[in-house]
Amino acid sequence: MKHKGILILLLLLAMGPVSALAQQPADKKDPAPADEGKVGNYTVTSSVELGVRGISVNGEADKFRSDFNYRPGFHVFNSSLLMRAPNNDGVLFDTLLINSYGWGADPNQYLRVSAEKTKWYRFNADYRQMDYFNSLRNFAAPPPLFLSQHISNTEYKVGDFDLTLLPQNERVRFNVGYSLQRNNGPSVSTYDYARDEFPILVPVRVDANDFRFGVDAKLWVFDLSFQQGFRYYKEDTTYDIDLPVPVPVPLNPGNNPTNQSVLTGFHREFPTRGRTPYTRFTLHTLLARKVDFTGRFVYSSATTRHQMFETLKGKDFSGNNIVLDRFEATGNAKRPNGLGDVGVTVFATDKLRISDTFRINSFRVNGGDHLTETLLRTRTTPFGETPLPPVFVDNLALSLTKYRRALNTLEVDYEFHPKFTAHVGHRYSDRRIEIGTLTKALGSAGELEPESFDNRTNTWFAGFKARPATVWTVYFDMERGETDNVFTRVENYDFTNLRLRSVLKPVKTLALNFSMVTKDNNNPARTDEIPPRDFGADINSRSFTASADWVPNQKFSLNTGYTYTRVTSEAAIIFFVSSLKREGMSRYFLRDNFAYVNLFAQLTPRMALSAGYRIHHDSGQGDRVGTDLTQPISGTPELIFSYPQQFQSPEVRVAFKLHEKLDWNVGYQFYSFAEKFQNLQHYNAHLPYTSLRFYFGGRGGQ
Amino acid sequence: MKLAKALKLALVGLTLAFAILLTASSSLSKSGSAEGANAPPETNQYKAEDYVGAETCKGCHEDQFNGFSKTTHFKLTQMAGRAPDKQGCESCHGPGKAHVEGGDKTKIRTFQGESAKSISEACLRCHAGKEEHNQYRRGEHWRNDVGCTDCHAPHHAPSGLQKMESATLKAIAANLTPQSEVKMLRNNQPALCLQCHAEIKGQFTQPFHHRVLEGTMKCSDCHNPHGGFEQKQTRLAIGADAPCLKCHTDKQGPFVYEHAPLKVEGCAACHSPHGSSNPKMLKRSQVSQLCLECHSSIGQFGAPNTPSFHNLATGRFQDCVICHSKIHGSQTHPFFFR
Repeated sequence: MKHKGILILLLLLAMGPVSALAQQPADKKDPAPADEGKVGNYTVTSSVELGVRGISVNGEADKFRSDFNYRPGFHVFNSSLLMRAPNNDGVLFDTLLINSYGWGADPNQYLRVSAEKTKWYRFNADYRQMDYFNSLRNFAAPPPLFLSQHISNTEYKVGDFDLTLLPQNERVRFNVGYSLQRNNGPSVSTYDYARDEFPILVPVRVDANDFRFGVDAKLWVFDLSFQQGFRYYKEDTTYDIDLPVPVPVPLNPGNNPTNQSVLTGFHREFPTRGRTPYTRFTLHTLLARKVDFTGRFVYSSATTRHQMFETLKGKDFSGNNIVLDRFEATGNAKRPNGLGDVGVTVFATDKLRISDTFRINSFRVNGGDHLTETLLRTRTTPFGETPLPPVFVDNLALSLTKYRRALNTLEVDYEFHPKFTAHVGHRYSDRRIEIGTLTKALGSAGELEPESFDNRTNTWFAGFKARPATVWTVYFDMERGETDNVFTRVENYDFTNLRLRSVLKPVKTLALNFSMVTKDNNNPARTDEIPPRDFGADINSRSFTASADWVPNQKFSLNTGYTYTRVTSEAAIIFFVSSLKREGMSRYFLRDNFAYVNLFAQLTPRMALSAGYRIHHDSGQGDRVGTDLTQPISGTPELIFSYPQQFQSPEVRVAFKLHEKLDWNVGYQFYSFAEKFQNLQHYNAHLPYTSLRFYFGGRGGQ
Repeated sequence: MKLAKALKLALVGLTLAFAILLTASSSLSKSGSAEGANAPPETNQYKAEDYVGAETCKGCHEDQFNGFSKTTHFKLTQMAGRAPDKQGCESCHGPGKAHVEGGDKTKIRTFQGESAKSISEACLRCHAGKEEHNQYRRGEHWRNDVGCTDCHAPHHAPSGLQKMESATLKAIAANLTPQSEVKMLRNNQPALCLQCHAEIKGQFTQPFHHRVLEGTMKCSDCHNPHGGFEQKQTRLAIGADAPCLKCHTDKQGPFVYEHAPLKVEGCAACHSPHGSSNPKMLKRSQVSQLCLECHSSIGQFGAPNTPSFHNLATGRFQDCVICHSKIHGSQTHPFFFR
């Protein structure tokens, strides 16, 4: 991916400021400008950075795009505007803050606006746009081609807009809000048909809109909050193989080399509509300075309706000609969901608090789908096309998921000393899940008989915060108990989680941090055999982090850190090789070393240097080798996986102050990715850029 | 494993040792007195004449006043009709008349030597009762004694700090931005959060990650730093759904055929939400491995086993989602094919 034109532009843009800088008289004064400018009643802090970036990628460009998707060209690197009326005497607003980033050639773009007129309103808007690309040789990319069959090049748009009226009013505040989500763009997926899989072109089209309003009020000793929302969902994604769009994967004849299935025509329409009204009510009070109480109830009732129409033609696995296979389906699903929470804290003494939090959550998902299929086939014989008997299917499917969970957390925290506080607690959960599906010919007998899963778990937790010295703070907490994950194994996971953090600030300008996080999930499952065998899963993770932040003055800063993450997962699994059932072990290893360093230096009053370096090195499974399933298996087979790789991203940026109101920046970023096993997705990406930052009003903090 | 157990025992022992040591020192110390009391302060029990107003404070504490005058809190001093205990310096430090008359430091609340919880109670006088803060007293930060002023700067954090600047990672280092300034934060997000949760930084710099360091997302988009009823202090979306579904809207359903873990166990059963080196932020590098760790039932309940024609020796069956492409849920197919 070469973009010489962009690089030439970049060079030209760089040349101008160089000559301007050369003409600037030497400025011996401290360059620190006034923080704020003044416009009318407002103080103003504002800057906008415009520039151009070039990109050159050597190696697997699709992997680079999947990781970052940075593009060459002009864009707004960064902009911000802060206007404040110090005396609350602005006409339309007292505070206005606008931030934006990435508009133009950047995959991550946002615009944030906050405006407030004291007493009257507060408005917040957060709009984001993300250009998402995904095409990888190690995901949905069956060997021997190793070409992704799940490709996305879509755009996400997400926006939240909230307006609060009377924001400082202690008696009543009103709020209205709107959120939008959009996901659009071309993609490729796969469809399993006739014992084969076929890539299908999928232009994605998903919209959701969320409208809400609410009120916060103080009534006697109670703080009340109410919100009512409505969410509308619309999906009009279609599925085709007939679109004249070139894709780098063969649409036919499918992945399975051992059968004759071919799709020569495919079209699916699947309009889906959803609606979710939701209501939230919260009550809070503090009684006699002794009891803090919060109660919350949330109810939502999501529904979706769908219609599907699908036609396809080609050949089935026996070589029969599929003249037409036509599916039609209509159905709907509902999910009423009730969530109740109560939290109480009793201030037993001025140092002792006892808290209890109770939750009850119950939802049910009911689904129904009526599906018909009409299959018309012929068989090619030496005597011509022979029609085969048509096949008609008329099925009704019903499904049910019921979930009820009660959760109670009791905890006590005590302040032994302002420099030492500790807590201990217990969590209990009781969960029941019922799941069932039924598919039957329309009109035939049969009832849905859900299967139920119950479990109860207990967890203990404790922790403390200590300040052995004024400059040193230590946090520690741990949990030990059972998770309530009933699907993964026959028994609860026994888990022990532990966290330790240390923050040491020997002087105001230096912070030294250390943290350790360990998680052990041990599943003691055993088989029904006599004598039973272990058939469990042990998943252990360790993370050690050390970092240092040194900011001796405003002209120099250094941040550096190192994190070692280690995950080992060992799970007994069941799988099939050539139709033979195998019981083996699945092992996963992650051994990631991450280090970074960030440096800022004001080299001269007119020149500042920023430099950063980040590296991940994951050695994965090391020398361990799993069982080759394509060869005869002896003993217990082991599937060993990891993703050993190295990923580096150094960057440097030099900022020249050309004028009180103008900076010129020039920078370079480099991304390097190398993986160990497939060796198919290496890349080195060079991203030079240059930009001009204009200041309007004061410089502020940018 | 033995080393890990020994380490845990040592840490538990350390906890107890700290408790005993500091409890003893507390009982001997004179400083652990009423100043550090944690009960919520009195409300609505003041005499108006005990308050002197922020301008009086400025006379001696000009630097603090100048910083404070740039904060959102300062606006309240200019609102007519607000009670004197809910505006200006004295809303936090208490009535200043006695302090002003004699200059005695002990006559005003300085917060020096107080615990994070005690300081936070002063903030909660005004900020409790809002949906965002209602569960603060039972949240993870409270539990671990992380208080309001650990993240917020009541006297205005210094602006104009120029530190590491990146063309792509807007929030990689500690630059105080106007956004954080308005919220009276000591630093920008996520740098503020990562100061303690340092181990997460490495996850956000993995090849596959949510765009948090880029500034497109913020920690507080998914987590409520002020507490909440959810574990990990996550927020709810669309009433009572997981926060992931706010953006990944096509996964919300309901579906006729739900992949049960999606709603029952949550997205994090399969995905690492901050970032991962694995595609799609999955917890395993190979999709079949991830699926088989659940779909391996030995006769009791649990996820069903794979059928026998799933020949794991062939590439076709090593990437389960090639066939089960609608793995999050399907309206028409029990095995998530369409």
